[in-house]
Amino acid sequence: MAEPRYSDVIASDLQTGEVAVDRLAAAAPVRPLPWHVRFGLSWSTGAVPVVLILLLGAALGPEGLAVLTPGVLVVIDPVLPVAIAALGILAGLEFTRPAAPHRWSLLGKASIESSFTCALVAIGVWLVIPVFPGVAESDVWLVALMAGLCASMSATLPDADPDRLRPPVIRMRDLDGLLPVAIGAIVLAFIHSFSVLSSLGLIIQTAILALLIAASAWLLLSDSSPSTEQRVFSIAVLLLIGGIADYLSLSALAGGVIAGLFWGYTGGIARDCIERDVRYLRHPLIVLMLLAAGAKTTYSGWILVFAIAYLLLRIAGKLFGSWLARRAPGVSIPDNVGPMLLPPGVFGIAFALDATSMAESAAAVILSATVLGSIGSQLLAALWRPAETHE
Amino acid sequence: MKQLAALGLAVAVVLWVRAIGDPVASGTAGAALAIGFTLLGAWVAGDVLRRFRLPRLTGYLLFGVLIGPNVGDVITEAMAVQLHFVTGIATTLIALIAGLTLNLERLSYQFKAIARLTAWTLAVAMIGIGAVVWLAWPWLSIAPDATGFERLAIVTLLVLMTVSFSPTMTAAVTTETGARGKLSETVLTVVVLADLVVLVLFSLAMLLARVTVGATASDGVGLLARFTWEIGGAVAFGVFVGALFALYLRYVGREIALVVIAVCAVLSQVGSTQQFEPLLAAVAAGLVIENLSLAQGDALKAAVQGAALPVLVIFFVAVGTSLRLDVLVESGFIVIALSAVRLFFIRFGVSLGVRSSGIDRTVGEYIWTGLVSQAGITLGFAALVASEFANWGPRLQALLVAFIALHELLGPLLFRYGLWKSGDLEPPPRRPLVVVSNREPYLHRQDDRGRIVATPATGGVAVALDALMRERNGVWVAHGAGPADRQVVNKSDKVPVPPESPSYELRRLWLEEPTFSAYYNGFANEGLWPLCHLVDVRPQFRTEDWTAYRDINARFAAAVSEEVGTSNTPVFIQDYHLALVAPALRQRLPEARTALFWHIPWPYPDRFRICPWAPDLLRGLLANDLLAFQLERDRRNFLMAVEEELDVEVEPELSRVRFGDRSTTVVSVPIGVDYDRIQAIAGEPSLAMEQTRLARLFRLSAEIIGIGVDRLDYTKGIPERLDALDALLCRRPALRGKLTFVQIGVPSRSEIESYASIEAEIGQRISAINARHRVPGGAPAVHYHTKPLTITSLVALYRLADFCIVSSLHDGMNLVAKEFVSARDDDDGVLVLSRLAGAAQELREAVIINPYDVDGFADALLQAIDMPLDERRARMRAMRRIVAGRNVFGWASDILEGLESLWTKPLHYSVRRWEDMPV
Repeated sequence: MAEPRYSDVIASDLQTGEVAVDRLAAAAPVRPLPWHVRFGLSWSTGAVPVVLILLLGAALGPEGLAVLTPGVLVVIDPVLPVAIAALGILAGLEFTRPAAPHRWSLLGKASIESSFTCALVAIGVWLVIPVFPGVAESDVWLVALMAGLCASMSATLPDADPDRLRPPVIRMRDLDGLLPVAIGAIVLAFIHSFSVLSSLGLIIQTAILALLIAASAWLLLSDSSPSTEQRVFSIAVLLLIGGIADYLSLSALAGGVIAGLFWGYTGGIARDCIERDVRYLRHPLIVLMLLAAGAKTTYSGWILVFAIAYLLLRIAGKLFGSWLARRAPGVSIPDNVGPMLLPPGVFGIAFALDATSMAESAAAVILSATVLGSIGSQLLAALWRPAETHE
Repeated sequence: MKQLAALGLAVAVVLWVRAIGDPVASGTAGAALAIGFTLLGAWVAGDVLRRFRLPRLTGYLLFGVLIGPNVGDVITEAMAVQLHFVTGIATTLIALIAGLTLNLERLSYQFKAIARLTAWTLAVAMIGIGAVVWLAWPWLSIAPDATGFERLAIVTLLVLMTVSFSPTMTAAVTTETGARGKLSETVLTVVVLADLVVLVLFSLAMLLARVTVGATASDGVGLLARFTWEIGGAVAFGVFVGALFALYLRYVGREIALVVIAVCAVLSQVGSTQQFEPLLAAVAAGLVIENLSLAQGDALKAAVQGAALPVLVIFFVAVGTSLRLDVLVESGFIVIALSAVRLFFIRFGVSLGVRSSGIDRTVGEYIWTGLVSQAGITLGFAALVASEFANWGPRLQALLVAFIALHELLGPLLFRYGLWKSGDLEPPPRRPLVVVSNREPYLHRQDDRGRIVATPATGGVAVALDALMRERNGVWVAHGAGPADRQVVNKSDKVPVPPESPSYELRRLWLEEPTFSAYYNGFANEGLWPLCHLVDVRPQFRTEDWTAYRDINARFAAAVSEEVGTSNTPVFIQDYHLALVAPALRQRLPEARTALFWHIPWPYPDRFRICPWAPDLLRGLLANDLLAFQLERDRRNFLMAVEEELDVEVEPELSRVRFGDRSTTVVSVPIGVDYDRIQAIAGEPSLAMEQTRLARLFRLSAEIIGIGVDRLDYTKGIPERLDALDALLCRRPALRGKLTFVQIGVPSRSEIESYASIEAEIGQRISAINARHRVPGGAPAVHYHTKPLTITSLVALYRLADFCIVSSLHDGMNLVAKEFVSARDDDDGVLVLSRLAGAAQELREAVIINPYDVDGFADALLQAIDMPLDERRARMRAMRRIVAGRNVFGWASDILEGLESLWTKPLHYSVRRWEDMPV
């Protein structure tokens, strides 16, 4: 069989060469994804197929094909705080984006929604979880609170194009992780020391450390010019921020947010370099993070039931929380904000992983519930979202 | 100072964290901290040393020593262990990069020579060092009582470990310094080959040692089998992984950085668990990708380029942290003496090997510098010996650890010195260039006082090529159109330029009438120009114009061949006027290297077929080695045209056309503007004065100012633009008197009827609009200016405008759009851009219009006027990023580097899939 000619290949796709020009003239229609594609893949902004990677991680993990054995996961573990810190940095930078209007108003509404969701899920889990085995009585409040915090976040990877103006509801979704991150940092610090004063001291020290590293990066990057050198510095400070959190067993997300806010407000070349390089690394890091999360998920009947409860409570929280947020004063947001906030994003999973280094006994439960709940949320969101909201 | 302050902060942070922290029992906490601190500190240390003209490598190593657990203990023993997780991956990555640099085709012709050199080096070194060690045995304190075969066995082991090299260090130094040349390639091949031989000999020596020390024969055989597995298994596994990776790169090609790290991790971990040498496996993998999938090898090399440097830094620091300087100090004299002996015999062996193999002496003189480093392999041998022979093994190991410490410090320094002396660190020499264009870069005329002055050509392309020629030197061949051009040239019709500091020559061709008009106005601008632009102007093709076109192109080719002579100077031909220069040149100089950039669009095949001489034009263009267009669309259309008209073979993956006995690579390289220059002008304090002057000149009293800057051409969509403005003012009468549109329209090609008529039409429409929308006492709707402005005035005008319209009906690129964006360092202003201009494919954040849709166009203008500040800023920032990242100098460099790379190997053009192509 003769090989197809180059022009035949083009012609079969474009009919004639004229279509190459016709396409210039005609406006490209926005085609919504078919329902089965949305269902199966559940793409979120940033094109990270969360569901697929979580399931892949589970398949490759110790409870699946055991490609990602506990030994391999130990090797990946040091990378996780770095990946989580990267998310935090991007969230901080996103909040301080110069051309983003109404940011405080949107933050307020997002915080209302996430607080309500957190409270609803936490209370619901606290009521339900004593029934399930495997969670110590002393850990019930911790599991409940952590589950609430994980469920409250819908933030996902920032847009590939940082300067593209996005609708308020998308920006609100990406801001709803900030308050839970702050609360989560306090909770993780409290777990660390079980004393309010010590926790506060620890948080303040961590914040100072993050700011010192951020300042160090600012000093380095404001003077550097070759992009190779800039990239080395950006990677180094990202490792340091994640490494500090890992070493002190505190929240890498919070450390990243603090650093991101610092760079966002100082601006200049340091901000541009950090943003460019962290964005460059975000996909591989997040893929690793999601793979690890999937692999570390444990399965049992009662965890599945817990996850269903988590999912239902989360849905309820998101819908009613959005309803409350719409009624708050400030920038107006559309009626369909509730379904728009259903996708779980990646911040919830990141926070669950953040917690695993501290609350070991409860960690497995929190992580598993968050992962399974995220899968469920994402699939539901794919079915629920109207076609014209294709971004 | 800022760097040191930043390092100080980082040190303080690490110490503080260690003070308040409590590492988790899992043992992995602190890895990221260690690596981050290592990277930052080592880079700063390397930079500090660079300022004292010392290699960066030394900085990395010394930093590792200083902060490591043996000296400063900033990085604790536990952290240093965690660092080794990364060094395992780093070593594998470095070995992979080393494999990617070994092109067997390039090496094959000198493989025998390298093998001979390696054999001589090893033989001389082993015999020489062996003799010295044997004689000095009592002083070495390893096993002073050993005699006979036992002593022979130990000496053999010691000699083999002493002689072994470090492919990792060699590759790391080469990569870190960016060395490219014969020395780096030869040394890398020698060390890989030598270590393979040493591995085999070491296994035999271990067998001998076991036998003489009383081990059973079966243990010895098992050892041999083990080493066979180590080498053979490593190579086989590496080949397998390399093949898989090549397939991934070819058919998926996403997230390459992540997959590279994963592959290195797999090679490192599987190698360790399966007991074969991960280094060899990685080299084999790289070798497979480079030699069996060239295109994928290039793509992989580009992908790891950025990632390699941080990995290398960490690698060297990790080496530094593990250096046992204390042991070195203890062993002192013996180690130094043994090292000197080793160096002497290696150098001697290399010199004999160079003579015997016939390797170039200028390279051979410095090969020894790359054979000093020792690292992982030697340490591995030493550890094995220590564990196998409890009596004397540990003492031997201790000696070797000190030995290695010395070579790890000195080796990179010496090799870097060798690379520098042999010229491997210098960038490849730039050949002079011959540029060929219809329009000349400088035009000589007489001023009012009768003095001859040189006026530089305006326009980004001319400026970029001029800058390129200043750097490269050479000759620019162009039509001499200036009134005083003849008065300044010498007998060869050349004049040195630029006038203020000549660095190249301008060779002028005198093209007389009516031939010139037939070529330029006739075939080029009445034939090819409307043919290639999809506008409602019928192309005119006349036989006499075609004859003149061929004649003029032949004359350009003759001039070029005189300039090129017998050298292999590259020739860079500009645009549609000179499509037949390459075949005429090739008749005179068959081996000439030419590239042509087609600045205007290339039409789809059915339209191109209109030209009666379409096949001749295509054949002419295929006489070039490299053919570049602005956009993917144009490249695609050209390839379809050649396939349909000439029935040639097109290789899509390489974007190469084979025609007769030649091949032409066809690429798309969008042109940019001189961003830095425009920025500099925009930042000048005098710009405000120029803005005031222009505001007075154009009587700009309106609140809203729009601009359009064009050469008067029917492709620019100026009548359509005026219609849209008219519609806008009809739709929103409140804008009358408050909005002024400044149209800069410079007449060109007025002798051609289609141009003359469009000029007249534009003038009439503007008058009509001004009359229809006149407001007493208000600003005019359109201000029309027909004289060209200097670049400074243009930038000032761009800065004054609230919006700029580019409404081309069809345009290759349109640099006005990019100039406007470049000039707006205030991040304000709106670009209204036709989707039919090439620039629309890059500047997607502009307000995109269809010039044929008057209502839509008017809507877009309203959108531009009503756009809130935040949105304007966000759009402009996004566009400025794109324009800054692609300037005209990069455009020129890309094309010329593409042409020059054709000398060494085919240009592998990565063709995106259909779904990925912007339309």
